[in-house]
Amino acid sequence: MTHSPSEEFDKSNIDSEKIKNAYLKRIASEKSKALSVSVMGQTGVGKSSLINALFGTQLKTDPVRPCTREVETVEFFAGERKLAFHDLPGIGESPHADIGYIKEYRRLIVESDVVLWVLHADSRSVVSDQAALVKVLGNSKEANSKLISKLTFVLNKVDLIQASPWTLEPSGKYAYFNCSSDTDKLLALKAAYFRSQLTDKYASRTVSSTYNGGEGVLEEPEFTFSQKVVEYHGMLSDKKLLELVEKYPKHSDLLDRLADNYRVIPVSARYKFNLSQLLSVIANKASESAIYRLDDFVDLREINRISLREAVGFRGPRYKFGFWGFLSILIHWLKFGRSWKEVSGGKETYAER
Amino acid sequence: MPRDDDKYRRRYERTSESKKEKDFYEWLKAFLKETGIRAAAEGTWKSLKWIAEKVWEVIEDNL
Repeated sequence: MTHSPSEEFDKSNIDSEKIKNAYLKRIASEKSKALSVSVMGQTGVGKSSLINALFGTQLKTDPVRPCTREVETVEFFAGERKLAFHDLPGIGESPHADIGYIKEYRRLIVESDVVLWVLHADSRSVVSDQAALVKVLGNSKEANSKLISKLTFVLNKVDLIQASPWTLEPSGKYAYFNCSSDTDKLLALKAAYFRSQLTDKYASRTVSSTYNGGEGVLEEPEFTFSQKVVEYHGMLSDKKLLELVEKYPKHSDLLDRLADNYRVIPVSARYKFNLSQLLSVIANKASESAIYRLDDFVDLREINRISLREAVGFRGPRYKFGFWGFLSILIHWLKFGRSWKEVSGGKETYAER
Repeated sequence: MPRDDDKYRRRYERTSESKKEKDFYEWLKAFLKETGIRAAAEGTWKSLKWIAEKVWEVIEDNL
C-alpha cells in the first residue's frame, strides 16, 4: 500500500513515545561502543599527541618506542566513554612489508570511525609515505577508492615551520597560538606539496561527499545530489574550486567542504593550532552512527585554545600582545612566579611523540 | 583566535546535526517497517516527516 502525496495516514497508529524510547536505546547502544581511531604515520610524527589534542585523551607519548610494523591498540576510558587508538606505524621503509600487516591495516582503515595519516611538517621526504600508501591501497581499483576516501592527511608539528615568529594571543585564562600571514602561506605551500606527492594521482578514484545543506543542485557532471548527501566524483583541485565558487557563489561552503576532504590539513597538536579544521573534515567523513561517539569526545570550546599557564611554559614562540594581553600575562606571572624566555624557533625542546 | 576558527567550529556543528538527522530518518524508516506501522513506513515523505518531527523534538533534547 502506498500513499499519494496528499493522502493522510492514520496518525492514531503512531506511538511517538515508543518510537522515541527505541531510538534513544539505539543511540545509547552506539555510544557504548568505542570511538575507533586509526592513525598511520612514521615514528615521531606525533600521533598520540595529536589524538590527545583532538579528543582530550591522555594517551602516553613514548619517544623510545621500538620501530615495528605491528599495530598497537591502546584503549582510553573516561567514565562511560571509550576510545580505541590504533597506532599503525609506517611500513614504507620495509621493502618486504608482510602482506599480513597490510591486510590488518586495510581492515582497520575500513572499520575505524576516524582514520588519519600523519606527516611531519618539518620534512620534505615523502618517499616512505608514498611507498606505504601504494602498499596499503593495493591494485584493486574498487578497494583503492574505498580506502582513499577514508583517509585524512594531516601535516603535524607545523609549529616547527615559520617564515616569521608565531604569536601567542592571550584571552582571559586561555591563549591561542597563531601564525603570521607569510607563515600561513608557507604552510599552504607545504600542504599542497604533500598533497601533490601523495594523493593527487588517485584523483580519478576518489569520491568526496558532504551533507546536502539545501543550497540547490549544481549542474555539473562530477556532482551527484541526494536528499541528504552531495558527492563529487574526483578530487576537487584548488583551481577547479575557484572556478566553481566563481560560477556558484551560493555554494561556496558546500564546495569548500568537498575540497577539504582531500586537502592535507596543517596542524600543531602542541600549539593546538587549526584543529577545528581537521575536526570538521573528520566529522564530514564519519559515518552517521559514528557521529554520536565522535561528539562525545569533541569539546569545541577547548579545541584550539590552551591554558595561559601551559602556554607561557612553552619555549619557542615570540609573544605578541596588546595592553590586556600584557596585563593578563603579568597577572599570571605574579600569580605563579614563573619566568619565561622569548625564543624564536624552539626545535630544541621538541620531544618526539 | 586563529583565522577561520569560528567557520570550522560552525561547520563541525552543522555536519554533526545533519548526520544525526539523516541517521534518524533512516532508522525511523526501518523501525516503522519492522514494527508493522506499514501505513507510515510505505507512505509518503510527508507522513514520515510528520512522525519524525513529532518524535525528534523530544529526542533532540536527549542527544
